[in-house]
Amino acid sequence: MYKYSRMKFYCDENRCIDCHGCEVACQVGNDLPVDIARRKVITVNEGIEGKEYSVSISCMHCTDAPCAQVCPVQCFYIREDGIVLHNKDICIGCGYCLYACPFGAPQFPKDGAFGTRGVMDKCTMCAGGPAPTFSDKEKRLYGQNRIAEGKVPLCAAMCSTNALIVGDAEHVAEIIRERRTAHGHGVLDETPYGWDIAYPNE
Amino acid sequence: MSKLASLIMTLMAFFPGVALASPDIIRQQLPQAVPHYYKWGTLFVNLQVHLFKVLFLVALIAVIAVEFLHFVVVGPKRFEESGRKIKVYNAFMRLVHWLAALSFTILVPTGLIIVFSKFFGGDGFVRTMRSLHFLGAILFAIAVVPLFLMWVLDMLPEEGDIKWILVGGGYLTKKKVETGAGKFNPGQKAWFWIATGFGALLLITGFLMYLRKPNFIIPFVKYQIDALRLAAIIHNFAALIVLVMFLVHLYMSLFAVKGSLKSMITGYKDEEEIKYMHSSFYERVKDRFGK
Repeated sequence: MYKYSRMKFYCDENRCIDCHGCEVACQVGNDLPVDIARRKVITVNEGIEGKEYSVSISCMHCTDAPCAQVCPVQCFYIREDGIVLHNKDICIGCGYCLYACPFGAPQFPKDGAFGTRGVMDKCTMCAGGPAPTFSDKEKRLYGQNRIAEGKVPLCAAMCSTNALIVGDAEHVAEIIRERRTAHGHGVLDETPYGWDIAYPNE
Repeated sequence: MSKLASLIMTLMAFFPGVALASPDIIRQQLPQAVPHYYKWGTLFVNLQVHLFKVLFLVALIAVIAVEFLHFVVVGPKRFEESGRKIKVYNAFMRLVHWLAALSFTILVPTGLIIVFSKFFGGDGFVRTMRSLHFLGAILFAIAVVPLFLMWVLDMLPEEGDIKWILVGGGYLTKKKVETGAGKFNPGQKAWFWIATGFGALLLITGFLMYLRKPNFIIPFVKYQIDALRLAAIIHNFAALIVLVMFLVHLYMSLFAVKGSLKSMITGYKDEEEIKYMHSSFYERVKDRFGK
């Protein structure tokens, strides 16, 4: 599927119990201010029997990341393992990444002069940022760097039902495939849930 | 829409750094969770990646080049002072005009710096410019209503406008021709309507983007994020038109017609200039000229 490994999130809607634990773990573990929500759990088809399910959304680390494309300062960079990160020193807080994102991942604190948008903040897959690894600056601006510690991101690490999984795209796809087969759903009709294009072709 | 997309795909060949992902792969994980989330997002991404910067750059260079050419080939209009003057702008008009002028001198350069922020390196400098852009918008919001009300009647189309358009406003020749324009010529009228109309549009869309989470219902748009995307698209296009007209206005007042800057400072215009540049207005007021 991929020539090289790409880190991807996947939330199994059959397992997510809408506990919002991932949100809290992210918020607390990364010392985020109140108005920043890097991860959110949403419920689809709420109240409709049999169709209701919850999923946890954050930055999906798209391969063709639209945010990186539209950024007027080009402060985004995509790591070799596919994690989409951005440089807060360069970011001007124009909000274009938010308009480009299909998931509403970019977050903006209201801390510029006149209450304008401050610099953008988003899920880093707990991989820190461009600041030196494990430095105070990295912790302050981007949160923990658990990837460099060899750990799973906070949200996936605490998920009590293992609904939220993260890792190399192929491994994640393999796990999903096994789960679906075990449930008797058969294999997926398509290549499992590509994370490749942010916007599907209409 | 698909035509536009294919056009953009072709254009993309010129921008190798920003290729979109190949369309053959896989659906996204959460299409149900975010229904129609792609509606304006795709358009915004395509426009922002391929069009806006190029348009602004082309407009900037083209307008300045045409102005430079005009200055060299035709040259500025000069009128000898006859000494007989008439007051055309009262103190209130001048105050409002210069307030609007101040706001535009802040808004246009800071806006361009935001568009070309990669060139300026981002960081604190551009962030400061963004704050200034907001400050300029407040000044413009104060100026735009009185600006509109004080001149709206003078800016309605008149009979003499046709003659002005036919003689090219008298700007295409070194000779002095009677242009037939009233108090304001059609060029000034176009600038007035664009500055106030598109200016208001820019204020509204800019304010929407400033709010980030507009907590009220916006017509035609189902999702907040789509409102913001539309606002960004409209803001860019409107800004482009205003930028072009602003540059033309700047050139006209500073270089093309000598003395027009002075008239906006003192409020008085000389008989000689009005006779040619605003000839039908001259017919109406020629008895009122004083020393």
